[in-house]
Amino acid sequence: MDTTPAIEDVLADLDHATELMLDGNCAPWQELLSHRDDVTLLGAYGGQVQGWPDVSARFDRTAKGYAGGGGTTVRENIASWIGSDLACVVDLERHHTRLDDNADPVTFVYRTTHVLRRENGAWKVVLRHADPLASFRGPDFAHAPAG
Amino acid sequence: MTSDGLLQVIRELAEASGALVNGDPEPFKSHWSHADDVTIFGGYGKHEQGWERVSSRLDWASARFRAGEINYEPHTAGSSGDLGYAVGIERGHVTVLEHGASGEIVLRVTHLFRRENGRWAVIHRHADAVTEIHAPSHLLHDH
Repeated sequence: MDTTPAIEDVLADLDHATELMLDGNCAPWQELLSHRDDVTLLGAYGGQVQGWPDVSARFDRTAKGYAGGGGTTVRENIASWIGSDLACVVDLERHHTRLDDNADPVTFVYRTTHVLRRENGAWKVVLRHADPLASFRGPDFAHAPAG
Repeated sequence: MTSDGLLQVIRELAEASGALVNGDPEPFKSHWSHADDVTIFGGYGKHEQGWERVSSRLDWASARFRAGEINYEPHTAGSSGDLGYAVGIERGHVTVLEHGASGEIVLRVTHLFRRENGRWAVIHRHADAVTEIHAPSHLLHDH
């Protein structure tokens, strides 16, 4: 009997984990990540990291920047493709939290692409690609001319 | 868990990116699904959905490029059933119409694929130039 949780429930878990992340607690998010070598993070702060030790460390570091208290997130789904062992989800994430030691909360929007894989009866995130380009930036942002 | 078929398509897509930055979007577009659910998170920001809008966006972007070259550095890829994904870096030089001078381009890219009629078709592209690590405050500009 297949006891893998429904993908909808896993995505709800991810939403909850993201809210906790915005409060500085990244443990629930890390639990939802695949621990395999190919787990990949293209985080909204830039760069790319691969493999559980580096991806996990990046989550630790990012969570430290969230001062904590009252973080919320609203995920607007743009598209989802759900297979039996692979699920791809494309969203806009609207986060509300406090950064570093700032007293005032801020709202920021990420474009996100997630790929989840079924591993040993559980859905695990194998890719998170996030960037802050939810609004149009134009060529000047994407590539600066040389010289 | 990546089928050889997908790796081949990833290679072809990389070549097609080269044509796109030389003003010809057709090879790149030929790899896409023409379905209503396709989406693009383009390198210039915002998003488009549905083949008509995605296709227009690719035309628009390509029309801004001249004399470019792009190399694809594959990072990871996987597939299962009728879905696949690929993550890599597109790195090269492009001449952008607005600037008139050649500039470096480095994009983090994720492509999602769906098997349609026996071939892997692109259903989503996520590209951004966020290759350097920024402080959180940097992200708050322009929102």
